[in-house]
Amino acid sequence: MTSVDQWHVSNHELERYVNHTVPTFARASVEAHLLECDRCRSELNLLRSTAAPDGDDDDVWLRIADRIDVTGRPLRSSTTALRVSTSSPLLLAATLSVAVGVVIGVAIAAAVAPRASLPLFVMLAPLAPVVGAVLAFQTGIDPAGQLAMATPLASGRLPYLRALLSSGAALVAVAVASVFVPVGLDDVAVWLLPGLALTAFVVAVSTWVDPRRVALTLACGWALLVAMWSWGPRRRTISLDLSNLAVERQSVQLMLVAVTLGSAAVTFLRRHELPGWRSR
Amino acid sequence: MNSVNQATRSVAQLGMSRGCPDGRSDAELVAAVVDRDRGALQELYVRHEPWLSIRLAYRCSDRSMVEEAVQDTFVAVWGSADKFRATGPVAAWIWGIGIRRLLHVMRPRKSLRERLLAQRSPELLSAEDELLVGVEHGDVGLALGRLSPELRMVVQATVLDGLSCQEAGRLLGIPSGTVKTRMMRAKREMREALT
Amino acid sequence: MSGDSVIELTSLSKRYGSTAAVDELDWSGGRGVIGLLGPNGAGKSTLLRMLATVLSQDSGTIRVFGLDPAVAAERLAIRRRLGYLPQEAGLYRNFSAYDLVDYVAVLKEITDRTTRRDEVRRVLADVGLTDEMHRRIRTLSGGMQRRVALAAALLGHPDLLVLDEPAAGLDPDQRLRMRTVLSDVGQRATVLLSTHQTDEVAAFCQRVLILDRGRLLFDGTPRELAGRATDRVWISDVPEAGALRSWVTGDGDIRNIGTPPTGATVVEPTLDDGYLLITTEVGVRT
Repeated sequence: MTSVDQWHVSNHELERYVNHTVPTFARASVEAHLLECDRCRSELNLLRSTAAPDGDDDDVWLRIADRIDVTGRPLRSSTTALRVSTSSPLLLAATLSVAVGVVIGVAIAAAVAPRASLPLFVMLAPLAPVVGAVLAFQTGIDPAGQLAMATPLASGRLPYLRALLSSGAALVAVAVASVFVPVGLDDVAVWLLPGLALTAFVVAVSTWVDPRRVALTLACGWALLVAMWSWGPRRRTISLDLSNLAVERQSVQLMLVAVTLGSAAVTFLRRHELPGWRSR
Repeated sequence: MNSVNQATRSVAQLGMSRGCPDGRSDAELVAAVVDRDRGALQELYVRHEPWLSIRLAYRCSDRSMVEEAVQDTFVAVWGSADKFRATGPVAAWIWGIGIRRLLHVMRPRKSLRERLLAQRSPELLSAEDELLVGVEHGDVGLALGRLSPELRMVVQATVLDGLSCQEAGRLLGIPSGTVKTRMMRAKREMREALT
Repeated sequence: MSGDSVIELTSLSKRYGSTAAVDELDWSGGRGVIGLLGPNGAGKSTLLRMLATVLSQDSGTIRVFGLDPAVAAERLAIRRRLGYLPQEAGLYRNFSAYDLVDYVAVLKEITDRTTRRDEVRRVLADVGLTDEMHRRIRTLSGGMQRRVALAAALLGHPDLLVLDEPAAGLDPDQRLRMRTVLSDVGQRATVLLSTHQTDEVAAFCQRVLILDRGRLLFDGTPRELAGRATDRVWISDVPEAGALRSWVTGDGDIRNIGTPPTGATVVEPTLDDGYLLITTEVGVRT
């Protein structure tokens, strides 16, 4: 420090300051000096620690520590389920980019090639939640990586909670994207039912094999199917007759619902067999 | 809070008994706190808690309130270390936080306005304070000693503790206008005594 | 469970393509600190991953605490008593050390907040990260990141600690600290750790296993391992043709392992000698 260093509070005066016996006028200068002087502060610390050895300083520090040793904001959620399922920033980012990708993709298609936008939407819509679910099953998206795999919660509901969350977010994005294409509220079943069925099926099958492979196969199959409906030999124009899809065909709808429910049941029964969390 | 269990204790002891003394300056410690160095906060606590506790105890006789204010102060240091500007000593910055945390702790409960006031960011000490430190302590001390008790308290609260007139009024239990008039009188008297 | 065996392996095998990572392994073991030695690619990590319930075997059986990790309910029961440090933890680097360990504590079903906070602080103090606990993992050095993962493995006082190269990237000081902590854990639990360094084993393991190409070459105490090389190590001035391995020591002598010629200066064997002799002899035979 600067010129202040030339003068220091005497030990006697410091002692009186610690014991509250210093005269008021002297107190003011002691206090002002203490703000500036390392040396006198450490003298004071010495005096105080000898006066009250090992007092409740420790307790005060412990209480300060208790108040700063808390988890960061996004993780502070009170319920374990919510906290754990939202705890993966990587999954969050991946889900968001899938969702934004779907919305932007459909919007661009609607603007550039309005007639192709509907087939594209019907093609993409059920695949978005599938991608969301598959992402959730990758061990790489867990903040604790491989460490998480050997924990009790990892064998249980954690991947499923995440899959529910990320595929749900993808479905919301699809609903938003449906604004850009001529799909009415009545046609929700056209994209929602295949979406639910495909996602549930992939999740169920993933208890046997790598969900990525299943998802890829199904995605190709679905894309082919939609392409055939739209541009196949029976319809030579680029248009998709929604009524020809699932809407009027109750049998198809029932089948999709059955696949969804059946897959959910299989998943429940085999919920401990996620291969992603126990390699073969 | 006697049930602080052993695990916590061992953590604290481990921290406390870090063998080598920390060679970092106060400002470096604050910078380290910005980088979430918990050890740096503990070192700041070890260095600054004693004088802060004693000085606050002169302003408030309730030990538990002082302790709470000290706690709040270091939690605030942890939370807003990035707001520290290296224009003055770290101790002065800590004092600025500490005296306001004490005011906050001592506030009559349930007053929204006071709570809002306490949220204000602490400022560094005034230029008048710097001047006081620079002057040899005997003169100023004597000049201060000659003031009547009510004037002296006002000088201490505003000049030495760095409080605004409103805050000083709250600490002393008088209207802020009275603080202002007493402060003018005190300045005049002290200037006469020093010249 | 027979006797006090925590781990029981019978003709355990795991193959990757045509190479056997673990080959017809039979072994059982109880409490204390057990060191797993072996060259790179010996199958150490594969074995540890199977024991940590994250990898399934091709054939043979695994019993941990008498439970079968292939059965979902039993696997869960094992995981409740297990701490695992993988070779590559892959921690999310934007979390603070505290947040990450706290998150793992949630995964380990430590639900009460106060208990969890104290437990997180305990393990972070054990690995010497009290001061750094709130720093983001990306700002920590490699050794510190390794210690964060080790801390997470220590959570909840597991009965079995499976540690894949816990000493990697630690400086001597931190190693000493880690040994102290793990020895302490070894008093009441089983600690199984893999390492490249024989001195690590000598320092605090009660039992040593040597694994090479998926086969168990040695199982015994560190003293017994060094004892394997009794009368098989000698010093000479010139390189000897009869030695299995020989190298120049810091003193300028040549240290040989193998069958010493008559009249050779036979010296006291070290753990290194025992380890080199066992792994080299196997290499010669095959």
